[in-house]
This record gives sequence, C-alpha cells and structure tokens, in this order.
Amino acid sequence: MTKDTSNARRVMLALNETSSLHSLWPAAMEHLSGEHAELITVFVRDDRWRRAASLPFTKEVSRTSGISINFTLQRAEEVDRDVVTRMQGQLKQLATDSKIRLVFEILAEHEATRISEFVRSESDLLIAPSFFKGQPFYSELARLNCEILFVDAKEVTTGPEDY
Amino acid sequence: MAGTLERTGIQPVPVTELRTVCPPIAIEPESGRKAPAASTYLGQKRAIDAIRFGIGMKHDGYNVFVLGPLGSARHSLVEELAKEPARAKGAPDDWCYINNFSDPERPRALRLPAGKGAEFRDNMRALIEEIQLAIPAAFENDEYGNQLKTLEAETQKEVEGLWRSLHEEAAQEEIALLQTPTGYVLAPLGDGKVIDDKEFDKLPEEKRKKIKRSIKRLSEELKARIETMPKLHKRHRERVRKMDRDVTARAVSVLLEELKQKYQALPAVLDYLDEVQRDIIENGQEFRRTEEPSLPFFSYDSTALFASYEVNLIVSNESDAAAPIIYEPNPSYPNLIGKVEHRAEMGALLTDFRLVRSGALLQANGGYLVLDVHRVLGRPFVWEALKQALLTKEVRIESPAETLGFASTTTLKPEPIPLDLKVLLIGERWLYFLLSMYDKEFGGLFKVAADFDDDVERSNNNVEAYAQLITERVREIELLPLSAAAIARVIEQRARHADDSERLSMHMRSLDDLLLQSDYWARQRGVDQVAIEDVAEAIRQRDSRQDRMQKKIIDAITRNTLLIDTTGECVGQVNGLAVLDLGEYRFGHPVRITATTRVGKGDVVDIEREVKLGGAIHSKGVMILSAALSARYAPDVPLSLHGNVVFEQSYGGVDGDSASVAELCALLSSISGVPIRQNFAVTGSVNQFGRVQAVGGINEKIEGFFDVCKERGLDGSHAVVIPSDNVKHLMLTEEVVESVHKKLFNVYAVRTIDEAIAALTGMTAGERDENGEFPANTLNRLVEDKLIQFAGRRKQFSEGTGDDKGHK
Repeated sequence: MTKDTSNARRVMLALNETSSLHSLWPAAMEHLSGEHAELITVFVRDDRWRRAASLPFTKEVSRTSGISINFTLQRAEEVDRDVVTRMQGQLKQLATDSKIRLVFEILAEHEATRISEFVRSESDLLIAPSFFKGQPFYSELARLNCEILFVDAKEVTTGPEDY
Repeated sequence: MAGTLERTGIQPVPVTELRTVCPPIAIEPESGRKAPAASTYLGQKRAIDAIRFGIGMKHDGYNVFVLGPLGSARHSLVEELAKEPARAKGAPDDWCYINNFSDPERPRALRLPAGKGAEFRDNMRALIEEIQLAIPAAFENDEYGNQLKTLEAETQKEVEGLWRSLHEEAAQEEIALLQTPTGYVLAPLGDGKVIDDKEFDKLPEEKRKKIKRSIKRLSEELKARIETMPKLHKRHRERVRKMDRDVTARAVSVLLEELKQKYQALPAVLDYLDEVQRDIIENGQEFRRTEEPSLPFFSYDSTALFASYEVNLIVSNESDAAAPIIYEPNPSYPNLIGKVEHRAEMGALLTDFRLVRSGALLQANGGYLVLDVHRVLGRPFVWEALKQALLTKEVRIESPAETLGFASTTTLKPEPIPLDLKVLLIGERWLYFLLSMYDKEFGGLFKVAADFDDDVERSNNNVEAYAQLITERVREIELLPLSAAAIARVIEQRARHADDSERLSMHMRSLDDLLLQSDYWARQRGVDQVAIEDVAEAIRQRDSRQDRMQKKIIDAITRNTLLIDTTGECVGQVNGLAVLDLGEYRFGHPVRITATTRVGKGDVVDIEREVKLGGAIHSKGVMILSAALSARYAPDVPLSLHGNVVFEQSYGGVDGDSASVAELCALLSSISGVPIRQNFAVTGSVNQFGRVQAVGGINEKIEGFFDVCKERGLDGSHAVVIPSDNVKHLMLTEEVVESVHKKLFNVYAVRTIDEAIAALTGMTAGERDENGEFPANTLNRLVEDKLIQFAGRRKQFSEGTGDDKGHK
C-alpha cells in the first residue's frame, strides 16, 4: 500500500461491490483529521449483474442446495440493490463506531467519471482500491486535481467464508 | 346402729384397712442417679424382656409393638433399651443421591461408609469449583489457541483452494464466477468484463457454443464444490470438538485422578467419578460459556450444569457414632418415607436429584425407628407405606399420588434404598388388638409385643424403688426435693391412682404432674423442700379445679332436687353408688334404686334397658337377679314374680353391674316388705349364688356417699356396704378415714347377698335348716313365703279360680 502521510480535510473513498472495507476503511481513517472531518464514499455500481441477466442461459446456483434457477433481470436488480444496501449499511456502522460524518453517493458504472465532481481542492484525498487502475474510468481518475491513494485490497476469493 | 349390725354378725372394715399408709421414706438425692433404669422401669420386666428380645432378633418381622397406656414412659424406656445395642452396632453407612447421567429422572443411590458421605459431597463441591477454573484456563492458553488457529487455517486453506481452482478454471475459459447474496452466477467475459446479450450475439457461433459448454461444465463443478462445503465444515467442527475434548480431558483427569486415588476402595464411587469425567468431557464447552442471554428470562444458568455433579447427602452419620435411634413425632408420609421437593421457575415446578429428601425410615436405617402407632394410623397412606417398606426392605421415595397411580406428571423416580432397621411402634392395647384382628400383615411384621404393666405390686422393695423413681423424676425435671413424708404421700397417691392399696400406678405422666404441682405449691410457700402438705394441696387443688359437676350433684341432693334419703327406712328403695368418669377426673355419688314386685311370670324388668338407657353389662346384671331369686328361694315352685327395677332420676346412660347387689336388695325388700335403711349405701355385683363380687371405683363411690352425708351432717349412722373383695382396693381420703376413726362414718364389707341385705335392713337373712327351710322371722323366710304365695296366686289365676277370673 502506498501511503501519503499528509492530513486532508476531505477524504473520498471510491469503491465498488468487490472492494474490501477491511483495507480501505483503515486507510481512510488514517487520513481523516479535524473536528469537522468528512468522509465521502462513492460507490461505483457494477453493471455486470444486468449484463449477465441479459443472457438467456445464465443461471444462479444456490449456495446451500446447489439448485440452479434462471438469473433474470429482475433478480439482477434485486442483487444489485442488496449489494448497495449491504455496503451502505456496513459503512454507516463503521462511521457510527468511528464517530464521523459520512456521505454516501452512488454512481452507475458508466457515470464513474463523475467522481471528479466531488473533488473541491488539491488538499482533498481520494482513496480507491488498486484494482480501479484496471478499470476504464481510471484515465479520468488520473486526471483529477487531488492526491490519489490506491490501496491493495485483500485478495478476494469467491467463497462462502468471504461473502 | 353398730349394735344392730352386730346382731347380724357383720363387722365394720378396720380403720387401718381403709387406707394403707406409707411410712416416710428418706431417699438421698444422689441415690436416684445411680440406677435410673432400675427405678424408672419398675415392674416392667416382661415388657423390657420383650423389647430386648425384639431388638436382639436379627430376622425379618421381629419389629416390636410396645403396648401400654399413654403416659407410661414407654418412649424413654424404648430409647434407653435401644442405646446399648445401638452402640454395639455402630454407625450405619451414609447414603447419597447422585445424578444419573444416562437417565436424570432416575437419580442413583450411592452408599458410602459412615462419615464418608459428607466428605465426598465436599470433595465434589471442591472439584466443581476447580473445574470451573481449570477448563476455561486450558482453553485460554496459547497452546489451545494455536492449535485452533492451525485447524481453522487448514480448513480455510482447503476451502479457498477449492474456490480458487474453480476461479482459475473459469478464468481460463473466460468465464466469471459472480457471487450473489444467495448463490453464484457463471457469466461469459469479454475484455475482462461480463458481456451482455448483444455482445454475446455478436460472437461467432462456435464461440457461443463453447461458452455455453464451459458454463454448463463449470456449473457442475460449482455444484460439486457446494456439496463439498458442508462436509468440510462438518469435518472441521469434528476436529475442533475432538481437540476440545482432548483439552478438557487433560484438564479434568488431573483433577479427578486425586479423587479416584482417595476412593479407590469404593468401586461405586469410582464408577460414578468415571461417569462424571465422561460427562464433563462431553459438555466441556458449557464450562466456557460467557455470552449474555438474548432476553433476561432466557438467562443461562451455569449452576444447573455444575449442579449435576453435586452430591445430595440424604443420610449422614459420624463414623464413630452409634446406630441411630430416631423418634419421629409427626410421621406424615413425607416425614416418614421422604419426598421430592420442587422449585418454582418461570411458573413451572422443576426438580432434580438434589431435591430428594429423606424421611425417618432412611434416617433410622441401620438403627431403630420409634413411632406412635396412633399417629401413624391417623395420617393418610402412612401405615400402608410403612408396611410396604418393611415388606420389601427398601425405601422408595415417591409421592402417595404416584404410589396410588393418580399422578400423571413426570417426576423423579429415585433408586430405592435397601432398608435394614428395627421399628418400635408404641400404642395403646386396643390398637394392637385391632390391628392383630383386621390387618393380616401386621402379625408378620410386628412379631414382638411388649406389654407395659399399668401398675406394680406395692411390696416393700417396690416401694423403696418407687421412692427412688420419684427422686429421679424430681432430679430430671429439676424440681424441689421432697421430704420423706412427701414421698410417702406421693406413693399413697400412686396407690390411689392404681385403684388398689396393694399396687402402685406406673403411669408416669400423672406422676410427673403430681410432682410438678406439688413443687408449684411448695414454691408458693417460699420453701426449698416439698412437704407433705404441698402434695396434699396439689391433690386438693387438682380436684377442686375439676369438681364442678360433683359439687352440682351434691348441691342437687342437699336441696332435694335429686331425691336421696340419708335417714329413715323405706321398702323397695336403696341407695346405690355410681361413678362418673370425666377423663382426668372421676367421682362417685349416690343414686336411688327402687324396685316394685307383684305376681308375674318370673321376670325382672330392667326399666333402664327398656328405654335404652342401660348398657349390656347392666342388663346382664339385672338378668342375673332373676336367676339368683330362682336359685335361692322356693326351688320347688315356679318363680311367679314380676319385678321392676329402676334408677330413679337417672337421665343418662347406666352401665356396669356394680349396682346389682343394690338392685337385688331393693327387690328382696319389696318382696318381703322389710324396709331398707336410707342412711346406708351399697355397691357390688352379685352372682347367681348370691356371692357379692368386687367392683371398680370403690374409693370414689364411698367418698361420693360420704360427701353427701357430710353436707347433711355426719352422726355416726351413715355407712357404705361394699364387697369384701374390694377392701384391698381401699385408699380413701384422709378425711373419710378420720371420720371413720371418729365413728362418724362406717364402711362394711360383705361376702354374700345375705350379709348385704342384713346390713341394709338390720334383719338376719337366715339360712336353711336341716329341713331345707329358712328360720321363722328371718328375711329370707319372708321372701320365700311371699314367692310361694305369688306362685299359688298365679296357679289360681291359671286355673281360673283367682279373683280376676275372666281376665287371664
């Protein structure tokens, strides 16, 4: 993990559904300071659910029974909502525990470049998972007029222990 | 008057025989301490031998029934006699109830040598405390933590390996494995992104088919892994559990080993400790529970788990003690058999082996149990339960409802405990005979009857022993010492209590009462020794407290409400004597008995019987009168008499045959026309041959007539005629004796009805001469002539030549 030791008044935390808060949250806390410290979390929605559901042969296999059912668009939206809600809930709980103010913004995948709208000054800090570097919107992030801190997330494996 | 009786040859009872005086007896206070048994159990050799025999017999059924009246010191005697055998037997084993780990509803009984029960219970308590510390400590140390982490890491690695391989496999085929909240989705990738339907449709046909095949195959792989996951988790849990058991076992075995060494001579204890060890190992995780309850009333009660290893000591004996001698004053079912208690929890009644309570049977197990039979019989289900325990030789602690099959709720069924004890039942004689007659099992269970005597012979030796007994009682109850004269006065009163000048009552409660009350009056006088006047005062005050009814009757007689003549003469009327028994107090008083006679068929009507006021024995006495008349007079002619006998102004029941002499005398007076002296009273029963027989309550009867005469003024003419066989029972009050001594009152003893009628009429009864005839001018001659006259009249009537012809 690269680390900027300078303190910033406004910290933006960019993440998507595969991001691990185990790594990102401590990094954000480390850089927040001051009585009016504000954390802006920008959740970049993943369109993969909708795309997967558009395919007629895609099925969802139950984790407990192994039974598979068609993965429909309706189901994809449910999953997407659930992911967002869960992430927002986790962030709220963490913010409450840390006694900080939290702003939670949601961007669609194709709107990811709008992250720049949340940057106000050069002293702002954007923290994002390092895998964002591989995303199409990275070029937009690179042009932002603020410091960017990429955090190596714990390797995510898809298994019941980690969901 | 005396001269008149002298003509009949009847002599008054000498003054010295009216009350057998006891000479003063000096007893050193210390002498009473030397041999309490010898004096306290005076005259009870038969009962003592029986109790010793019963206690000594080892075989089944040789339990003892101690018969005797209440207050005869049977309890103290029984306990005294059991002490030595109890010491010889030594303390019996201790008994505990312990948890039955395989079936908690059936607690197990554990036998331990005397004194070991409490020790084992304390050892187990200490063990539980140790375990509560040792087990969490074993799990909190680094070694356990490292082992657990290693296990978890191994499992996690295995899980991750499975998923990683699937991810890699999918990635190689450009398939994404996406995770939803409830499952997985396999979707094709294009440039690292999931492609949609439009992008998929743009793919070449072959590519599309390949993707579909890959997804299908990977789906099977996915399902296979999903099925593997629960097995992996189960295996992980088992490995953790095994590790936990190993850790617990190591922690527990160290602690239990010490106990096992200590109790290695007791296999049953070792078996139990093994079970405890197994159970702790199985439930080791419970010792580590620290989480808070989800709701207050769902609070986890950790003591309940530890309690299952507690020991419920229900019978505890000191190792060097004697066998128990238990007297249960309230032998209710739970107090005798035991009970299973319950505790209320959340509105429900709960129980476990710790709430099993022993009763007197178990407390006395290995020793002696003393019970009052009237209390046993008076409490529901107790008699049957006692017999059941003695027959089966075990105590089964269950409620009566269960025993009778009325209970349907689940409760404990504690393991029965073997019973080996001697039961000593104490009861009155009638209960013994009632049980013998109606309970077929009784005889087999109580084979030894120890019959307490009510009194003891008043021999010189026994009087000496009785004086010692009095001294011993005074010492035990911590009363003022008695003077020699006071002791003598008490002994005289004991003879009076026995209703016999030649015997002494062994009723201990009444003796204690007399001593206590004498002590009270001595203290009232401010003296430090009980004198003879204190004993006399105690007796007088006791009588005074209870003589209200007696005074009422005397008052009614002196005011002529109750008609009793004490002067003059009257034909067919005699003063009989009755006794009223008020429980603790009884007294005598005169009753007027009258008879009328006329020609009849030879029957004497008992009017008391006709109106159902007479008891069976009284009726029997009256019937004997007819037989006596037939046998004694005019044997050659039919008895042609109709007589009526009645107790005048008697409105209550009459029983007993002690008035039959009076009734016969009234009949003879009526037949002969010879008047009876009203300044005399008579008591006694009579047989068919005219022999006068002894009756009860003789002292009270004489004193009852004396009191009435005294009220009207004693002038030396008043007398009571009693059976000569009753003279030995005389223990009259000093006042009566003094009056006789001053020739103001007399007591005559008679052996036959001839002597009695002669005493009452002053006329010689007369004996048959060589010709079989009574001499002229004798009472018997007058009676016989009259009866022959009646027979003639009856014959005339039956032949139709009588005055009342036509009125047959």
